[in-house]
Amino acid sequence: MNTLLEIKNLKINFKTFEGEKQALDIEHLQLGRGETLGLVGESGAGKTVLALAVLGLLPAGQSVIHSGEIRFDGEDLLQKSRRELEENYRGRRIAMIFQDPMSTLNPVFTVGQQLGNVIQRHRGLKGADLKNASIQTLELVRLSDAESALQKYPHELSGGQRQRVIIAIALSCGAELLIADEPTRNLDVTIQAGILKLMDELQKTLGLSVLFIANNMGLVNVICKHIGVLYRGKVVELGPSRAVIENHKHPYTEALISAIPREKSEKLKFAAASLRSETKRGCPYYARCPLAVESCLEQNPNLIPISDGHRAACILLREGGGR
Amino acid sequence: MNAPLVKLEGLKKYFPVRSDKLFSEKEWIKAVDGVYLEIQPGEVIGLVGESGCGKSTLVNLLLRLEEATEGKIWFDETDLTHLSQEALRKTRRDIQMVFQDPFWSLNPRLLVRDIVGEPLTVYLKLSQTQLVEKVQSLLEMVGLPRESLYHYPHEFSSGQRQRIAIARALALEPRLVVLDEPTSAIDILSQAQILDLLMQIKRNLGLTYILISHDLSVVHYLSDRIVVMYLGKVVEEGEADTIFNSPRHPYTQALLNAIPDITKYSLDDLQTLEGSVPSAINPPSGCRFHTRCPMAMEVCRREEPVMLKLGNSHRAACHLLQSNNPKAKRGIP
Repeated sequence: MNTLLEIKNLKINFKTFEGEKQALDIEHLQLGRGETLGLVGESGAGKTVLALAVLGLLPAGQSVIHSGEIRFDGEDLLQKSRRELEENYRGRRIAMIFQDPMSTLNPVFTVGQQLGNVIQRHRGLKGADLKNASIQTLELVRLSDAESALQKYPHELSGGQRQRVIIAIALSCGAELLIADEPTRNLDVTIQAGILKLMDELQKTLGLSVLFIANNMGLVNVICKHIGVLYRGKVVELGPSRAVIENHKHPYTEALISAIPREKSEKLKFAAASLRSETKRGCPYYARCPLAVESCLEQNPNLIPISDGHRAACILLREGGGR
Repeated sequence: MNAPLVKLEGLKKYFPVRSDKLFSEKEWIKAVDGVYLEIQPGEVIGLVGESGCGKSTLVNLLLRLEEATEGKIWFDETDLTHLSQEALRKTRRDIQMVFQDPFWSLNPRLLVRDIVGEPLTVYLKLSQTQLVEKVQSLLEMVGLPRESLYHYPHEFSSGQRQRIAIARALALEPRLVVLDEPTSAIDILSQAQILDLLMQIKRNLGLTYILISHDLSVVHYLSDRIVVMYLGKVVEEGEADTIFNSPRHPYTQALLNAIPDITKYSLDDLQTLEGSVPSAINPPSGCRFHTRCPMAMEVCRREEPVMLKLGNSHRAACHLLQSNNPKAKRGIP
């Protein structure tokens, strides 16, 4: 596999009034060229922190990167200067689509201005070339009547159209890695299906690598080949989508899946907010885990291989996946 | 069958469009355009449709936050559309609402005691101790600790805040609760707990719910009956399981096929609908869905389909379902 993004031993803490709090602790995570990885977890699990870390956008005063590497195409992004990141990586080779399509676009500039701005900055185009490039990009995301869309302000577009413009801006400079942070949140299901199809198509035609962040299991599996489950900044299960969903091993993954409402008659199984008091030692899921035993407190478990590419971090698992 | 708790008769709401031209003909946005609906006591009705289909306007009309243009709203045999302010104030006790976003719907400057207690102080004369007792028992009902009384909303997680909002809605012992996207701002694990709580409360208190949600799995889980709306009109209505297992209107089918879930591993399993909801100012002629319908026929452009009875409580408005239509006999794909 040709690796595009590789994260090793990344530890990030946030400064709070009560001292440093761990935000992210990633042993190893990688994404190959042209691959799609979905990151799932509750809010506060560290999905967005991970994305911001890759882009070098973590607030400097409040976060501390303790150790680790974020390798993009072989280069460690954490060693790059701000300037280098800005000129060669962020927005150019690594693009991000933020949550909320309603507030990502600036309401006082037209689509053409906002898209043109990015293309001008990264590709140095001007005048007619700039306009042509803008139109091309909008056609890429299948925005009907691209030329007139350039003149429009964000409020004149529907939610789905706005998200298409945002994708266009993200991909206008030939990015290799696209980070999508819940790109379809608050969109209607019909519009969501359209945006997902568009992303899938672009991923395939442009050979993009996609890191897709979501808080819902039922969404990432349609678009991603692999799924990683995050809990409190730690990857607790990782593997091919089908394996993670149908043959999940970590109790937290189980909780996420059984919380999805299905038939009316079926009673929802849900994880209690906490069963035991929080501890600083051992497994981070200890306090909420229905299967926890004494020895869970002894160490913070590493990912244990279960089958080809499928790993989970739970001491109840032995290699090969038995409990 | 009991008398319905809520009955909507040909309900319409047209909003005027502001025009620059002085003598041009006035245009209207037909947000809700002739809705007939009956809700039995103890039922959970799921209202479904894309943004702009009129779900929220319909609910606003019911709460009389908007005045209806035409039609009647019967609530327990009183017509809400013509109630005086004083009578309306009395009726409003019986209809409460839980809003979408518990970050905006709770006043950040008030203590939980005051948030949940506010409807009580407006409607009832209670002493301080009675009030606190009542609020405490409400908090208990929604699964929050008693100490929550003297905390502010920002000290709670989104799931807990939604519980506070639910406690407030239940304070006056309403008969009908409108749930507007009650879990869309909440994580999946808290969502499961809130859904469970809502069902439990409904069973214990014998409430009637109107649920608006764009998450169809949530709608399926909570609702007894589902009403599908498109551009201000009801296009299909029926038991939740009937709608999910054998939807008859092409729009309902499209909506259901667009949901991603954990059993789908490829985007080919998802159906997309072309285009977006047309403008409600000049809705398409004939069947309003014909511009996006994959099965549109000539007649759909000209004639508006009527509601057809398909089963016990299953109704849909589509030309394909007319018995003299050859496609209907073969069954719609």
